Amino acid sequence: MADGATSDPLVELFDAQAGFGGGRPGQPWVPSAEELLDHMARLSIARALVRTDFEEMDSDPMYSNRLLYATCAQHPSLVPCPTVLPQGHGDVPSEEEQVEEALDRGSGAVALRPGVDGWSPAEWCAGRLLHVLEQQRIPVLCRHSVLGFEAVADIAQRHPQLPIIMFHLGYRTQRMLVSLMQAFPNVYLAVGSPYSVHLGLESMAGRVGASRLLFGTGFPYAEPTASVTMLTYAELSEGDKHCIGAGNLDRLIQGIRR
Amino acid sequence: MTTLLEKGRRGESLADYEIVDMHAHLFSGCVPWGQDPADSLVRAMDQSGVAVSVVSSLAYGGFRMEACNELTYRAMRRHPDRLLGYVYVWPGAPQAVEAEVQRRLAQGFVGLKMLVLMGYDYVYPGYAPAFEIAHERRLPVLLHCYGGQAGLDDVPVLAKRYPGVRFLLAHAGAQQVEHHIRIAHEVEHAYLELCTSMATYRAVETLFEHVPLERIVWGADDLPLNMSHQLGRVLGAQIPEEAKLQILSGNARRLLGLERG
Repeated sequence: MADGATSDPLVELFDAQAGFGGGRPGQPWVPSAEELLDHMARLSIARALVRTDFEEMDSDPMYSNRLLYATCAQHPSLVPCPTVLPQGHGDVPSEEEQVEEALDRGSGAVALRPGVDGWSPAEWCAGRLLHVLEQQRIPVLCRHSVLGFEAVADIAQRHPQLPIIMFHLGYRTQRMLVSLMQAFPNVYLAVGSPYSVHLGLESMAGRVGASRLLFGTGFPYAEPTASVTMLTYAELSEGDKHCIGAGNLDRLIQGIRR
Repeated sequence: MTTLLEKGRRGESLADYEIVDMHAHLFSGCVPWGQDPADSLVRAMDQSGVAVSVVSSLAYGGFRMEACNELTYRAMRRHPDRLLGYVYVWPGAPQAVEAEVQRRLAQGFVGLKMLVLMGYDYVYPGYAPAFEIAHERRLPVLLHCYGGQAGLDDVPVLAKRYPGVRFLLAHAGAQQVEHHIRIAHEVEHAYLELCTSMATYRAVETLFEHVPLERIVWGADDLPLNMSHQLGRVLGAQIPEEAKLQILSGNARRLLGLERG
């Protein structure tokens, strides 16, 4: 807040919306874990839940998961969020095997990418996967552009014990986002870029509760400081800032049935 | 000494730096029903201590030019020390443009705002009376200009016709940053304004490396975006501390003729 007031100690930050190791067409830069770690050190971000990102060219999620696990094993501040998908015609391990490995490797969530990985979130295709994840209470991360409001609402209704974390939403989605989160208590929002909404944290805390919001940066797409200052300057209680900064994600991870 | 980034990380006030936001709006859709968007904007400025925002309004749909500017004028009067106004120009009624611009400048507006999304390129003749006035009075004109999209390539053409205009190119670096850099090199009076919800990675650093520092200014696009989110992009940029202050305050103050303090 203004007028010289300070928030001390620093709000602990656990980044729910970050990644590295992915490529984009026509772009030579492949963001590395070291770059993310450098930003985390610079911004005093204690931990990050990490996916393979960019995801546009990630055509082999099982290979990418192995790289992700190996990197996270070297850096305790990085918590893996591997990609999981329905077994379908058998080119990937069974749903149970994927989830078992994710848990064995200390994952804090998993990523669902139906568009990128060529599957449907409908029950006839993803029902078994979603059932296993729900049984274990494993949070699932869903990028809004590949899993829109209707699909998230459908999953949230069919699997009410499955924590669903939406991310990569912009200000134009605010009206539907609030309605969705009010309708389904198992839907959460990671507020990393491009979530840049006029008094957005204050509004969401008032309408759905600060307990449903998770700090995120949006790296490597986004400059990570933007989301940091959106939280540190927000008109929220210190308790709410700590919940959004790290506490809510910690609570979801602690809720996993390992 | 505490750095700007450290202050931002702690949520400490930046009021001492007299920050100027060159890109703000008044919308009714972004605030709770019944609340004044100008009050809500000032509330967002107060969170970090932003001193001044230059606003335009599209609150009633872009085609209702006079009503939009009246909302801006009311906001300027309600918060005279905090809000300055751009005259929003809609060229769909070209006969009304000159009179509206002259009237609003007489009321104390400090520049013009145009939006290519309204369906008219900036070289559309309906805008010409507004550019003529801006040229004569050496005013800033804020143009919505995403890299790779309509509008940006009009700027060199207009700069030849209206060399007195200070072209403020909004959303610089949001995408196709090289497009903005090229236009900045072609046009002496092109100023790059930084706002984007995407907070595009390394956009600020890239512009700093390729564009004269005095031609980079900060804007938040709040409403609808988040003031403190946009501020963080400069606070956290890996550029010298003095450059951050030029972008956040000094360059805009020179452009607007505002004295510090």
